[in-house]
Amino acid sequence: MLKKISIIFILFILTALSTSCFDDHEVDDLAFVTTIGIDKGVADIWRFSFQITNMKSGGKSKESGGKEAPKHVTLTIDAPAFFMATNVLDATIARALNFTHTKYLIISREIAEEGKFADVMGPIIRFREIRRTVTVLVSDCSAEEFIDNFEPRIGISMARLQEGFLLASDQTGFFPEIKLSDYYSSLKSTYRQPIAIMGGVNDFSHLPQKDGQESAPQMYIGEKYAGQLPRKGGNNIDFFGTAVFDGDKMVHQLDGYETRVMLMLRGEFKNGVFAYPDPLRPDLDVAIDLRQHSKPKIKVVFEKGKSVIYVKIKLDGNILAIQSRINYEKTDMIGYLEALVKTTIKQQADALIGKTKALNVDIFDFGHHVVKSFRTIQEWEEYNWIERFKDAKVIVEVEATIRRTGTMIKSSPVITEEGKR
Amino acid sequence: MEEGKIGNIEMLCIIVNAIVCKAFFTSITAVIQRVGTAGWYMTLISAALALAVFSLVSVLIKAYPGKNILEIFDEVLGIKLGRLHTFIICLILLLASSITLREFADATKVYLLHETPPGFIVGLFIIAIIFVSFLGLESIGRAAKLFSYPLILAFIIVIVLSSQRFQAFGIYPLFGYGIDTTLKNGIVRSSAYGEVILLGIFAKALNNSKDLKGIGYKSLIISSALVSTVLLSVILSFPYFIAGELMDPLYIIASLIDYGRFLQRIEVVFIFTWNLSTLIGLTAVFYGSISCYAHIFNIKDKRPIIISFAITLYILTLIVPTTSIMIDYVVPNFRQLGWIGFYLPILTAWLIWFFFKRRKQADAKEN
Repeated sequence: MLKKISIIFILFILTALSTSCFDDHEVDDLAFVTTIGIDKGVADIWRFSFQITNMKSGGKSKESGGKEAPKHVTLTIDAPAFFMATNVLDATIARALNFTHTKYLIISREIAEEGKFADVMGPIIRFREIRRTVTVLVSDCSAEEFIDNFEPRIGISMARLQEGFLLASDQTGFFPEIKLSDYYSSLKSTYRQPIAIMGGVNDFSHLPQKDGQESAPQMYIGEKYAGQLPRKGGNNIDFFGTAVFDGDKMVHQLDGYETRVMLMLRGEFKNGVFAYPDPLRPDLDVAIDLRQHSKPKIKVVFEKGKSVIYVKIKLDGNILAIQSRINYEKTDMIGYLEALVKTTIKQQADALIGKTKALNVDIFDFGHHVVKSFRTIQEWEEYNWIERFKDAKVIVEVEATIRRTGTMIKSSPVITEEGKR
Repeated sequence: MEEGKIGNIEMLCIIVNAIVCKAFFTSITAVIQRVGTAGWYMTLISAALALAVFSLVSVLIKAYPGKNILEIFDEVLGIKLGRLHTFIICLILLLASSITLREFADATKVYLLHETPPGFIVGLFIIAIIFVSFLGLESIGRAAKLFSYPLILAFIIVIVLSSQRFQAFGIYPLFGYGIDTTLKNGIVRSSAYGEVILLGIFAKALNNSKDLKGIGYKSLIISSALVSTVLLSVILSFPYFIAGELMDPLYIIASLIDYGRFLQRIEVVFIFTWNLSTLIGLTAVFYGSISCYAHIFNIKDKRPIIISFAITLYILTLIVPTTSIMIDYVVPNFRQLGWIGFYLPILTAWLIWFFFKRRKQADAKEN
C-alpha cells in the first residue's frame, strides 16, 4: 500500500513539474525573423536588418483605421555586434526576436568585398537558434534595401517565396544553393573556397523600351548579373549568379551561364534550359533542356609535383524547340545538337577554369578529389591545395546525349505559296 | 544481494545503451580533434582492446561459476584488496555517470532548454534514475529492451535521412593525423567501452558464463558498430576542421536534414533517442556503482543508499563550474585515464588468478 502511495505521490510531483518549465514561451511573446541583413553601419560598426513576419497578416489584415497592416516588418539598427542589436530590438518591440525560422542571411557586397563577413558570422553560426540550413546570399545593393524589396508580389506567403527561390536553383541552375553550413565550412576549408548566391534588386529599368528604332543588339540574358535582368513585373528581387570568395573576401562575380558550368563541374547542376544558335541556321535558335546525367567523373594524377585533373561531365538533353524546323530528331542529324552542346559547354568550362585559376580560387571542389592522393592530414595541409590550385592542369571532357525530342519526333516545313520553308 | 534473473537481450540492451549514450555528446568531437578523419576506425581499435579485457572477465567468471566479478575479486585478491578494487570500480562508474550526465545537461541547455537552470535539468533526470533504480535491475532490463527497438529505429532514421549531406571525400586523408596517433588514441581511449564491466557486476543475473561471454562480445560489436557509424556520419557530413568545433555534432547533423518544405526540422526524433538512451545507460551505470558499494559494505538492501548516491551524483555532476573546464580537462582526462579504473582491477585479478590460483583450482578439481 505504501509503495502504491509513494508511486502516486512521485507521479503527482512529476506531473506538477511538467506543467511548465523555465523555457515556456507563448507564440505571441516572439517575433519570428525570416531574413537577416548585414551592412556596414553608420552610427556603429554594423547595420543589421531583420525582416519579421507580422503575425497579424495570418488573420484579419486590416488595421483599426481600415488601412491594411503590412505582412512583413523590417527592423534596422546600427550596433557593434549581432547580439547587441537583437537585445536592443527586443526591448523596443516588446517581443523577443526569434531566429528559429530564419531562412536567409543577406550580406551586402560592400562587406563581402572588404572581407569582413567572417567577423560577424562567427557569433551567428554559434547561435543555437540559427539553423545551419540558412541560405547565404550576397546582395549587389545594401542588405537593407534588398530586404525591403524581399516580399512576395505573386501570392502572399513569404515562406512560399523563400522556398520557391531555392527550388528555382534546381530548376534553372542560374544560382547555386548555398547554406550557412556550406559557406562556413568552405571558409575554413583546406579543400575549396567559398561561394554564395548573388542577389540584387531589379528596378525593371534594364528592359529596353520600343521607341520606333531598329531592334537593339541581341542580349545574352545568361551573361547578365543579379539586378540587371531585362525584365519587368513580378518580384523585384533577382537571384542570379555566384559570388566567388578567396577566404572571406569576395573577389569575383559569376554570371548565370558561368554559374551553370560551375555547378556542372561541382556535380550540383540539376536542370536548365539552354538556347544555342542552330548549327545549320545560326540566325535561329534551338532550345534544349539539359540535365546532369551523373556526378562528374574526376581523376587526379600528379605530374612533376603538379596535379592534373581529368573531368568528365555527362549531360542528358531533351529538345524543347527547333526554330529552323530542321529534322535534328533523326538519328543521323541529332549528332549536330550533341556536338553543339559538347563544344559550347567545354568552351565555357575551360574559360571559367582559366578565370578561377587566375584568381587562384577552387570553387569546383577539385580539392575533394586531390585529397585522396594524400595519406595524412599533415601531408595534405603541407601540400596546401588552396595555394596550389593555380598550378593545376584541368582537362575537361563533355559527353552530351539528346535522349528525347519532346512531344514531336519530326519537324515538318511550313508550306507557303513560294513552296516549303 | 540477489537481483533475480534477466534475459540475454535485456542485458544486451543495458550494456549497449550504457556504452553508446556517450556518443551523443562531446566525445565524438574530441575523437575527431585527436585523430581527424581516422576517428571512425579508431573506435574499432578501442573496442577490440575492450573485447580483449572483457575476455579476461569472461575467463574469471567461468573459473568461478555462480560468482560475479566483485566476489571473484574477493576470492582472488583477498577481502581487503578485493574490496579496494571494487571501490575503484564503484568510483569510476559513479564518475562516468556524472560526466555523461553533465554532458547531457550542457547539451540540453545549449540546444533546448537554455533558460532552465542546469540543476533543474540534472535534478529531474536524477529523479527518473532514482525511480528506475528503486525498481531494480529487472526493471532496468525491461525498460532497456522496451525502448531499445524504437531507439534503434530512430537512430537509423536520423542516419539514413542525414545521408543526403554525406560527402565521400570526408574520410580522406584516410590515416587522419597518422597511423601511430590513431593507434595510440585507440588504445588510450578504450575506456569508452569500459561500461562492459557492468556485465561482470551483473553476472549473477544471467544464466551462465556462456551467456555472459556471448552478450559481452555481442554488446561490444554492436556498440562499436553504432559508435563507428556516428563517427563516420559526422566525418562524412563535416570536414575534420569543422567537426572538431562542434559541441554536439550528431544533433547538428539531425538539424541539417532538409528534404524540402514537408520534411525538415526532425531533430526532435533525435532528441527522443538522445534522452531515452542516456536515461537507460546512465541508470545502468549508476546502479552498477551502487551494486559495487553494496558489495563493499555487505549491504543487502540497496534502496537506502540509492538516494544518498543520487545526491552524490547530483553534486558531482554540477561541481565543475564551466563547460570549458568540462570539455578541456574533465572529459579528456577521464576518457584517457579511465582504463586505469575500468581495466586495471580486472587485469590484476586475472594475473593473480592465472599465475597463483589457476593451478590450485585445477589441483582441487582433480582431487
